[in-house]
Formats: sequence, C-alpha cells, structure tokens
Amino acid sequence: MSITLKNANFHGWETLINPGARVYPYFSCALRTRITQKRATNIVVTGEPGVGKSYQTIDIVRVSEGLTLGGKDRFSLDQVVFRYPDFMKLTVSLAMGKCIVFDEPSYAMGKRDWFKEVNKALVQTIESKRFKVHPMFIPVINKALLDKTIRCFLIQFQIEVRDRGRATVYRIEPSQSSDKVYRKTFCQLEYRMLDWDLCDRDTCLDCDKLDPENSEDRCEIFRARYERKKALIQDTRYSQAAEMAEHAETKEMTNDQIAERLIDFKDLFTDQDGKIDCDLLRIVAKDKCQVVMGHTRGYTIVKLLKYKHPDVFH
Amino acid sequence: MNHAFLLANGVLTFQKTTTTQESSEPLVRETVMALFDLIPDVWEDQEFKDDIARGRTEQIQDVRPDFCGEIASIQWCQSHRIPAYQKVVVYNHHLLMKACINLLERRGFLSRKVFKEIFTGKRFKKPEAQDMADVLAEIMKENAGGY
Repeated sequence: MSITLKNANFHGWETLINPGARVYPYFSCALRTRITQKRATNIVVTGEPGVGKSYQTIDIVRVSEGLTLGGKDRFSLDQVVFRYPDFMKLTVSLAMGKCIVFDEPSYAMGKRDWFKEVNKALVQTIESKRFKVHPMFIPVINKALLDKTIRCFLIQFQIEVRDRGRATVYRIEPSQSSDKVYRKTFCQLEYRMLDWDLCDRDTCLDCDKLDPENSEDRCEIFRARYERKKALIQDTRYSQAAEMAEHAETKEMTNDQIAERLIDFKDLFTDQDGKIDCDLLRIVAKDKCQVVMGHTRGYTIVKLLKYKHPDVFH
Repeated sequence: MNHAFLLANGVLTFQKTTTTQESSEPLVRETVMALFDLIPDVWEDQEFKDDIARGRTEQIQDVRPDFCGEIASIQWCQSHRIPAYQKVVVYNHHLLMKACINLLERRGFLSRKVFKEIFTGKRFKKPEAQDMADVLAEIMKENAGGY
C-alpha cells in the first residue's frame, strides 16, 4: 500500500501526518499535553558544537507555542535567556505555560560558569516551576555536563540533535526503586528550518542584513533577531572579561609602575602648592588605574613621587 | 510469565528442529503447534487468519481398504457403504510458522517502530488550512480495514 502524507495545521505551522506510517507530531503533542496538565517539563537538547542545537530548540518551542490568528509568533525572543538573573526575572514575570530557553551564550562566558548557572537555576526552581509551569529547554553539548541530580531526575526529555533539523527524542525515566535511569526512544524529529520560505540561509552569521549600517535594511526574521540578542550578550561579556583582565594586570603592578601612571593625573590629587593628598591619590588610582591600595602603600607611593619628581611635588 | 521469552524459545526450538539431522515432519509439526498454542486469541487478526488459510490445503485421500495387497474397487466400497475417498486438511507447517512470525512482527516483537514528527517549516496558509482532526479522519477513511 502506498503511504501518503497529508498536510495539516499544527498551531499555525504546516506538519505532515499519517499515523499509519507513524508520522505524526508526537513530541509536540506530548509537550502540549504536559503543559496543559501542568506537569514539570525540563528538556535538554544535546549535540556537537555547531550542529544547530539552539536553532532546533527555538524551532521546537515556536511550533509548540504556535502562531496567533494574525500569523505572528506567540513565542517571544524575551523567552530566550543566557544568564541566571534573566532567567529568574523571566520565571517571575512570564505567563503560565510559556516556555523558557536557557541558551548557552557560546564562548562569551566560560562554559563552567554557564553550567554552574544552569544547575543553580534548575535546582532552585524545581518547586516553583511546578506551579509556574514553564517548560525549560537547555541546549548543551553533553548531558553529562549537568549536575547528576538534574540530568537523572529532573530532565524529562532529551533531544539529541544529529544534523541540522534532524534529531531523536528520548524519554528519560528514572526507576522509582533503584538508581537506574532509563532512556527510551520517543520519536524522531525532522524539522525544516522555520521561515526558510522567507530566507533560506542556514546561518545568519555571515549575512549583511544581520546588522547593517542602515537600520531599515535590518533583517527581522526570528533567527536574525536571536543572533543579534546573542551578539549583544557576547559583547557585554567580552567587555567585562577585558575589564577583569586589566584589573588582574594592574593588581600585579609595582609601586614604580603605579607612580608612573599616576603622574598623568597629578592635578587630580595635588593642591595649588603641589602638595599631595594621599586619600585623593588612592581614589584617583582606583578610578583611573583600577588599582586598589591601602594607606601604607598610598603613603609609599606619595614618598616615591616626591623622591622621583621633587620639582613637581613638594 | 515472561511471555516474550516463551515465544522466543518456541522460535529457537523450531530452528533447532529444522536444522537437526533427526528432523522429521511430525517433529516440525509439533514444534510449530507448540508455538501456535502460545499465541493468545486476542492477538489473532485478519492478516493472521489469511496467512493460516494460505498454509492450509484440502486433499482427497484414497481410503479404500485392501485385502491381501489388493485394493477394493470403488463399486465394492459403494455397495458395502465404505467411503472410498476422504477429505483431509493438510497444513504446510513452514507457512504456519511464517504466519506466526508475521504476527509477532505486527505486534512489535521483532523490530522497533520509528515514530517521526515532520514540520515543513512553513506557515499554514489560511485557505489551505485543514484541522488535524479532519486530516486524521480522512486518512482513517482512506485506509479503512487497517494498515
């Protein structure tokens, strides 16, 4: 018997179905059922770097939340968070049943720090999530990176992304009488990238419309907006990292080096007669050179300045 | 009872019986029937019944008595009201075995079924929109009688 797949409407998105051929939105339906029944739903999305975990996650959530009658996404970009404080804010403000994607901010943050935040977020919100009903999606490189309690007992589904748009869903079921955790195959996913009819590029990273000089040319497709949000987080993180690196460098500066740098700001810590105010010098050092020092070191530097530049300081 | 184990044991016994040198038609028959008996009635679907019918043949056997090596004539049998021929149902036990295996496959014992979710990545256009339930009903109607 030839098997034909029929087009059907799933929350505004086109899906193909034929239950006889075992093609049906099994996972999306299961997800919707869990949300309707107000059951905790934590899903981990795994796959090697660059395989499309984040895009796949966002596509699943967009399909699950569906479109409005006007054809707009119910899922908003605000529901994608990269940091623990944002996650907590969202947990409080988000309407019941809405999904949260706790995405990995790729390289902008140490992976170790990020996993710490995810673990913290999950452990601290187990109880509240039961009442708030926010299905959580976490794209990670490997499930083993998550805390053992989380990966064994708090995760309900694992989605293993094999290739762009292709993934296998597993149901994680811990035994109620032993330490065993069973991983049962649930279904396979085949998602053609959402909005491919608007833009068929498989990545936005080398696209001119991602962040053009003229804002009118800016691409407003969901994945482009996601990339811009991610880039913003990355830039913030990079500048923080740069500041930290500079701070670490100045901490190890010798008294001579600090004195040399402070010479440029001499007007800020001397009075009209050229007399140095030690407290002011310490404030200027902290503000301009990111060097925090105590009174003793402050007075040492005052004496050093007087010794090296007797004509300037009295 | 670990029924899956008992079924697997039945299949293994059949394999051993057919490959051994002492294999005989009655032995094969008995092993197939032993497996047959393990199949609950509720599992038997139309396809299973069709497969059994394929393995079943009706033969007409000559059952005339013989006297001192001489077979009695048909006329003699008719005059003495002794049946000359008899209808006998014969089963091809290899085909019966096949019917059992097919049934086990349909029940999901032999291979894992892969369930798939496909999204085309497009928004559904309003005029073409078709509710999931309607599509499902349409498919069921087209495939009435089972897949």
